[in-house]
Amino acid sequence: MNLDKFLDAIDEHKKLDRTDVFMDLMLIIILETFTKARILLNSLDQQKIEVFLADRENVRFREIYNLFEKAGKTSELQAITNDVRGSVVNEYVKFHFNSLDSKTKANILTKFSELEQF
Amino acid sequence: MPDKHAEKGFEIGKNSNTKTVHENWLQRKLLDMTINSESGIKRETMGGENWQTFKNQLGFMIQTSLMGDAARGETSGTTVIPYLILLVDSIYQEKIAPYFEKSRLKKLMDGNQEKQIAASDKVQDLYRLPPVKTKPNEFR
Repeated sequence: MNLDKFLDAIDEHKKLDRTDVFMDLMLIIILETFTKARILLNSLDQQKIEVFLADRENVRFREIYNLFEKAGKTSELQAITNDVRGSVVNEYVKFHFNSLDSKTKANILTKFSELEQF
Repeated sequence: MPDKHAEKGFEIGKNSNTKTVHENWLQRKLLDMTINSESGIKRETMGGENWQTFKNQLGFMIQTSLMGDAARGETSGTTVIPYLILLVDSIYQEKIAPYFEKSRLKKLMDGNQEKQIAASDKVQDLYRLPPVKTKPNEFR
């Protein structure tokens, strides 16, 4: 799924700031990745991550990443990041697609047949 | 069980404004991760000159390094993760954290600390940790 082309199709006048989109997506991807990947670590470090994530005003992503680096789990973390990235982007596209009226949906489907699954 | 997203006023399938849809999606995701507050994130509380400057400087880099790869269907992007983590750190501090600060202060001013403590408990429950009660005098 080409996200750029999809956004161009549903938002041809670019009312939606693309940079905002990509930054917000990245934020969500990293948050979900850390949440899912914490099982790679020992229980003490898992608790540290939970504390980091629960401190909503002061989430320190670098410190969380350091825990994975220290545990030698960066490859596994990267694999999870890729999986999460795919699922978040798909979910995002689906969310937009389902918000369209039926006429626009039909039009978009002619351009992106893979959206039929939604 | 009531739909928590419906309670927040999300109107799935009823909005053709892509910007609004995007905001709804972001709020919904943050809500799912329990790093949201009752009224959701408001873009105006994230903004300001610093955010705009930051965005202009780094936005293109992020797009090409992370989403650009995904858009082309490639599996790369993994090598830049440490760098992206740093960027996310900055984004979070710039965009999201200030919102919670304002939200917390407002709740304190409203004398509505109970809800905040309950929300804190909810986060702890989610991560299966024993709840840590926050004393009112620990808030700034």
